[in-house]
Amino acid sequence: MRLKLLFLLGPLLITGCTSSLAPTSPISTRLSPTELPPASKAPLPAADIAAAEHLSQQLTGALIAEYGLVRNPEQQNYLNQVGAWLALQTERPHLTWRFGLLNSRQSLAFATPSGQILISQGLLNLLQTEAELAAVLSHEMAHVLGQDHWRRLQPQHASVGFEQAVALYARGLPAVDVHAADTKAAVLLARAGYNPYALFGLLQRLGAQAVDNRIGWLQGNANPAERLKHLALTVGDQLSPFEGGIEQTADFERLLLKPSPSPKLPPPQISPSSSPLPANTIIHPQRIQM
Amino acid sequence: MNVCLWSLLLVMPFARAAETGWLPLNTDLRAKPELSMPSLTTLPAGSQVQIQQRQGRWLKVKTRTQQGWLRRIDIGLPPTAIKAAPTKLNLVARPELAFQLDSYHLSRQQAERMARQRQLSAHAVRYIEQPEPAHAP
Repeated sequence: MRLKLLFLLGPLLITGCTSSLAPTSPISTRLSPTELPPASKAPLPAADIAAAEHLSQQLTGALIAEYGLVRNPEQQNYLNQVGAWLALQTERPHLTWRFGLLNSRQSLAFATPSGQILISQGLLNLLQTEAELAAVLSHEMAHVLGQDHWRRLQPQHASVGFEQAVALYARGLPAVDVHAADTKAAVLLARAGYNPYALFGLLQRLGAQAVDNRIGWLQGNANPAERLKHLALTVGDQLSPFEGGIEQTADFERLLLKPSPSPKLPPPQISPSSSPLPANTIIHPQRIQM
Repeated sequence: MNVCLWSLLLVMPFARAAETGWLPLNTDLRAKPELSMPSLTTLPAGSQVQIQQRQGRWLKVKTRTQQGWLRRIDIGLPPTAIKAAPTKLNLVARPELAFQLDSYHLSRQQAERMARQRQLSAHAVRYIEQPEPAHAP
């Protein structure tokens, strides 16, 4: 079984490590990403791929059943445009990458072992630019590339139970995985033509907000302060040549920032004893909740 | 009196409190917003600075005794800002619903075309090596 684990993790460890590339700087010449050296030569064992895909289908369907997908095809399509472009910049573009927007006011993001990425409307409402959206997606995709959930689900067992997986998603990945995903996400942003420092800005801004408001995406086992510190230590100025990358797009402004015309509603009946929103709700002045 | 009151009300929304930044690492304070400028001093990790001005990737800041420039990425958050809290998940496996995401899937060509429309271009960038995690003795 340990041998099986090594088989599974071996290519992934190579994937997440630059030692095989032996660079002194993360920047290489301007090449098409398809010209990047392959990160992994050995395929994963078929049994593990099948088990991970089965679990991912279970988790994806469970999240859709619990929260539902946002019934806005334009927003769903846009999310997939950003996600699919980022997926092309990864070393595993042929994974079954899928992206979905969950109808939840909580700020949540999930990545299944096989590449289904689900983020909530509540988290989307906190984002201000396409680069920030790409930063969230890249971070989640980095967990897939690192097979972080799969590794933590004790894959030495023949089958991983659904309940075991849900428990892991509830308690969150350890900080070391989150930090590694942040560093990888910054590189994916640079590869895709975004400003890689959008991730810094997002953590700074949401981290400050999250002191007084519950932001589920930031309440994992890695404190945003530690995440910023780790990013400063690992990324630092190394990606500064890409700092002029795209931050905002007209699509993001049109689909996610521009308030849609609201239907005429009767004036709200506000009584001092009843509040229409939970106390921890963050109201974004530029958005309308779905 | 009324004029004074209205003037005050007009000014109030623009009178922002000075923004405070917290430095997670030892950080060089520079005289000008350029990395090539010599360091005025190294501010120790944990220092707080008042952010006075933003200029691209640089921030003009003031300490108790000095003022100068830091990079935007030098600013962090106090270490005890947020505590971990598990997400409440009550999920039931429904693999038959996962296909709903397929309808939004884009082909490679579609993704590339949409990216071009948004002025995005790909760059070859190598991954950055992670430091070895600290092991407990």
